[in-house]
Amino acid sequence: MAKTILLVDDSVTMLMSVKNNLEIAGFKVETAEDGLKALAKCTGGLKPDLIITDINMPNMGGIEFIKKARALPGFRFLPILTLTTEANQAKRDEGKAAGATGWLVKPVGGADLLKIIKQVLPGA
Amino acid sequence: MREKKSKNIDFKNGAGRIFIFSSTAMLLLMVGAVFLSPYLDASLGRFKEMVFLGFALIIALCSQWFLMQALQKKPVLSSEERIHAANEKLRYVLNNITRQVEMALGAKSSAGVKSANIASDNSVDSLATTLAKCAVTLAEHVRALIDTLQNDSNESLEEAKQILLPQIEQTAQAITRYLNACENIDVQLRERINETKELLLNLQNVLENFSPQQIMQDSPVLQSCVNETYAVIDRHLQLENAIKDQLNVVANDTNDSAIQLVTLMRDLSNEAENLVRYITDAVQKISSLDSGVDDSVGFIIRIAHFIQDIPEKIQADIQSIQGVSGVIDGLTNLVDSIKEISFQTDILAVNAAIQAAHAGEAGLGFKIVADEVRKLAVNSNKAAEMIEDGLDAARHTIKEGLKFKFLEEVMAEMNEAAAVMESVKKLEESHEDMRQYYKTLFSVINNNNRKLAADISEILGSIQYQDIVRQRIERMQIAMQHRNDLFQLFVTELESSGGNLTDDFASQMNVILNNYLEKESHHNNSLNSRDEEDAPPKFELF
Repeated sequence: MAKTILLVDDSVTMLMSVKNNLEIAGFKVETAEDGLKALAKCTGGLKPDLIITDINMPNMGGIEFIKKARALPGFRFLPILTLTTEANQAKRDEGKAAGATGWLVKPVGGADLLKIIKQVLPGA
Repeated sequence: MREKKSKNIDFKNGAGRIFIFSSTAMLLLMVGAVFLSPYLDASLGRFKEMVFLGFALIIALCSQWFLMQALQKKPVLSSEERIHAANEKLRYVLNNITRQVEMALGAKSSAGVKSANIASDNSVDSLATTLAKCAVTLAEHVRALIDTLQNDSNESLEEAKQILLPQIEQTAQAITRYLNACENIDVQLRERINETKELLLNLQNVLENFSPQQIMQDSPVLQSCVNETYAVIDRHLQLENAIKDQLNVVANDTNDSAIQLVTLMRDLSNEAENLVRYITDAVQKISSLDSGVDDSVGFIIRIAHFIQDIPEKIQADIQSIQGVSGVIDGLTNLVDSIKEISFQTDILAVNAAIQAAHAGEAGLGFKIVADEVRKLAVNSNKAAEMIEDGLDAARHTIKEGLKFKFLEEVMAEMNEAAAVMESVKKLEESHEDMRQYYKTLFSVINNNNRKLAADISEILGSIQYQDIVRQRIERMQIAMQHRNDLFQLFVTELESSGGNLTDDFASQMNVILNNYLEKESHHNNSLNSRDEEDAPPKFELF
């Protein structure tokens, strides 16, 4: 059974490239263009094994999305990684406080991304 | 010593009173200037300094006039050096006064109304202060002079008269020159004060009727300069908009290219997968073909063995047939024996018939037997001939079938058939080679495909730079928009105020710059930023 990853980013390029990478590696990938749409998918019955989200997005940013997703039933211990251009420590601390599992700074190569995913998803 | 002597001055002396009066008046004037400054500002405005200057000058002149009166009434002798020193000091003070007055009034000709105002204000203040200081200094010098004269008067009057008379004369002349100079200064000061008054009045009129448009109309150079500035800022904004549009185009183009690249990469990946699938299928098919080929080869080998054995079998058959031929030959001899027996039986039957004829009637039965025997002998002969014909035919057939050439041909064909086995073996070996080749090919293609997949994966990762570039362009556009808005505001305010700007545009611009730089510092900037030692790690698990 392929693991499902929810990918949240406002950039179509990012969504396509990361989605392709993950699909080639055998994952099932769901995508959302902002935090609001991603939250709607989560409340609509989607149970991903991992969430990878951008931070700076329209409508709802990554930090707020992580906070709200953590409050959903079944999402408390779900690994949530950020994939963003934000590199400063203050933003990282904010993400950590919101409940993020890890912080990735763009760009992350395909092999590196898979290694990191294997760390947070041991069965993958 | 000097202070001690000064205590002995008779304060009833007029000079002392004048000094005290002038000093007190000057002090009162200064104190009044300090405390009444806000009220006088409201009532007198910019003429406040001139009024104080006038008062200070009047006090100084009055005190000097009274001093001169007192000195004339009571001339006192003094030494030549002290008079000379006093003269020098007086000249120095006068020069100071003259220079300050010239500075104050010279500001009138300087360009720029505002700077002239400031310069004249400063100069007037400075002049008033200097005049006050000069008055005090002058009073001190006068007091010192009086002390000296007083002391000297205690000495022998006669000696003093001899020594000091020329000096007194010189002092009197110096004081006269000083007074003349003071009068000149007074006249000049009045003239300059009047000029300054006129200048200030003009300035007041200008300020009352102040309008930027008027200034611009009055100053073609300024007008042209301002127009040029507007035009430059306008063109600058147009250029900015053009650059912003181009940045948008760049962002969109890179976005489209990246999407296309991702699609192509995905196609490439799919093609690589298809290729591997095809090769895998081919290898599987070859494996299944292998067993078929193995079966066929085994079958062919069995046939070949069978064919290989055929010549030996035929040889054996030939030998068997040759044996049959020998048997047939033996049977032919037997037929000859039967023929001979049949001939002898016939002769015997003929002899028996002759003997039966001799016996007459008694021999009739025997004659019948003899006839039958003779018939039997004839029939036996006929049967023997038939057998002989059959055996001849069989022998002929065998002889025809066992001709030598026929056997050679058969043997050659049989050998050729046996050689097929060698070909089959070679075919089997070739097939094995081909199978190994396919295995190697599959392994190489599989490895290459794995590398290709890794490269595709890395390329897909690198495409993320498009998003980084896009965000960087967006931040640049935001900063440029803020700057353009500020430029627009600057131009608007410049037009409406005519140069009298109320906002601090430089600091606002600085805020925009700092905001932009701060935002940039929060993001991963470039490819090279990977190597920065002090940068936070690119990957961190909490």
